[in-house]
Amino acid sequence: MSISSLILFAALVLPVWSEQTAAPRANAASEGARHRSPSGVEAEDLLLMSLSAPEVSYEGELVLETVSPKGESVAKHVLVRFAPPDRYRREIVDENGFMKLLIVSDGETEWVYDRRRRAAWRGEPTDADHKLIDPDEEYDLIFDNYELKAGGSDRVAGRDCAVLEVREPAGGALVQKLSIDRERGLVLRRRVYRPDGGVASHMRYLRAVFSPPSGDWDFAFSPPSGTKVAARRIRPDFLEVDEVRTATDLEPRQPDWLPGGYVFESVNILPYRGRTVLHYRYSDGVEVLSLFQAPRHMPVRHSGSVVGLRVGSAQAKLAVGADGKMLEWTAGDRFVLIGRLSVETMKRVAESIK
Amino acid sequence: MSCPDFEALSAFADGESPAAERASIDRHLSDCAACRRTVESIAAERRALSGMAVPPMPADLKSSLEAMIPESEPAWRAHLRILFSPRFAVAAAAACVALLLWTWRAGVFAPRLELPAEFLAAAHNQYALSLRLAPSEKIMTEMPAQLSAGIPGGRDVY
Repeated sequence: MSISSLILFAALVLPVWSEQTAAPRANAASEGARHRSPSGVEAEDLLLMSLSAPEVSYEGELVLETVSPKGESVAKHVLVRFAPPDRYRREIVDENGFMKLLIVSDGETEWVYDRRRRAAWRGEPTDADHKLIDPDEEYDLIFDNYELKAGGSDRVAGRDCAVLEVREPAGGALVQKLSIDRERGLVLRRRVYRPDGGVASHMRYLRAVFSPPSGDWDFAFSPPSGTKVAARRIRPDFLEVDEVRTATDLEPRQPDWLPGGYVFESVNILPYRGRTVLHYRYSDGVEVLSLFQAPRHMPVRHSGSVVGLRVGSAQAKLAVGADGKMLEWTAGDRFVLIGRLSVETMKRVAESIK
Repeated sequence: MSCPDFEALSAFADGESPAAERASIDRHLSDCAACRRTVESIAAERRALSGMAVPPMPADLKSSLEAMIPESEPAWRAHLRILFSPRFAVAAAAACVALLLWTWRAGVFAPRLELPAEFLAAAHNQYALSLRLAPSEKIMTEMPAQLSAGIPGGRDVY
C-alpha cells in the first residue's frame, strides 16, 4: 500500500474511531436517547418565560421546605431582593427575623456569610453564559429528555400563576412543578419531586413586590470585624478536557457509557489544599451528574453513614442523602459520582470508566 | 653386597638409614675401604658446615624479592573499591532517580489527604445552579452549610 493510500485510509478511519470513543456530546446519539416529547406551545412558552430573569427588580419573602426521604421536614425563611441584570441578595432569617445566613452578589463578587460561625466566603457568581453548552442546546436537552405540560392555574402570594409540570417522558413521574407569575415570569412556587414521587423540596413566595423602591438596597458586603474570610471559593469554570490535560498530573478519564439523555457539558479544575481534583459535569437539561477524579491518596470523608458495595472488582462506598447519592471507589485514581440516578445506573457509569 | 650409592652412604652418615639397611651397610664398610673413605668425607663436610656462621642477606636482594611478589588486598577492600567506582555510582544514582520518580507518580508515599464530602457536594451544586430549571433557592440556601462543613475552628476549607 502506498503512503498516499495510507494517509487517505487514516483520514477516513480516524474521525469515525474518535467519534465512537469520545464521551457523548450534546446532540450526539447516546444509548436510550428519546425523541422530542410533545409538550405543546403553551408549555414551551411558559418554560421560556420562567428561564428568563425578570426585567424589573423585586423583593419578597419565601419559605423553603426540604423533606428528607424519611419524611423529616426543615423550613427556612428567606428574604429576597433582586435588581437586574444580576444583583441579588438572599437572607435566611431565624424565627425572630434576624439574619442567620446571607448570599449576596453585586454581579461580580458573590459572598456567602454564616453569621453564627462568623465565617465568610468570597467568590464569583455562577455565570451560565460561560458554559460550553449554549442556551439553545440546553433548551433542546430539556425538551428531548422531559415532557412539559401546562398544568392549569395557581395563586401564590396573591398573584396569578400558570402551572408548568416537568415530567419523565411518556407520562412518567413528575420531576418538578412550577407556578409561574403570569405577568412577570418569576417562579413563585417550585416543587421538586424524588424518583419515588415524594416531595423533596417545596419553595413558595409568601410575599412578592415588583419594582419596589430600592433606595436602601445593598448588594455589596463587608465582613464584620472578627469574621474569618476564605478568599477562594469553588470557581465555576467551564473547560474542555484538552484544557485540563496540561494543567494537572491526572490523566483525564471519563465514562464510556452515560444514561439516556445525559451529555458531557464541561470539566472544572478544583484546587484543594495544594492538590487538584477534576470535576466532570454531565446533564440531561434538568438533572446533573458529577464525576470527580482525584489522586488515589485522597479518600472522601463522609459525615454520615456509608454502605459498602463493589464497582467492578473495586471496593466502593455509597452514601445516600436527601439530594442524591455519592458513590466513591478507586481505580488507579480516586473517583466519586454524585447524582440522583439509581444505584445500578451509577454503578454502570462507574464501571465504564477505563 | 655391592657398594651402596652415594645417597645411601649419605643417609648412613646422617643416621637416617632404616635399621636393616644400616646393618647391611655397616657390614660392607668393614670390607670396603673406598666406602669407608666416602662416609668419612661426608661426615667431615658436615662438621665443617655446622661451624660456619650464617651470612646476612644483602639489602638489595630483599627489595628485589618483594618487588617480584604481586600485592594482594583483602576481599572486603576489593568489594568496597567496586562500590565506590564511578561507573557503579552512576548506575546507582540512575536507579535511585527512577525509583523516586515511580514512587512520586504512584503517590506511594504521598501524604493522605481527606476530601470532605461537603466540598464535592458544594461543587456539584454550584454547577447545578447554572441549569435553567435548577431549584436555585434550595441550592443557595444550603451553600453556607456545605461550605462550613469540615471547618473545625473556622479553618479555611480550601
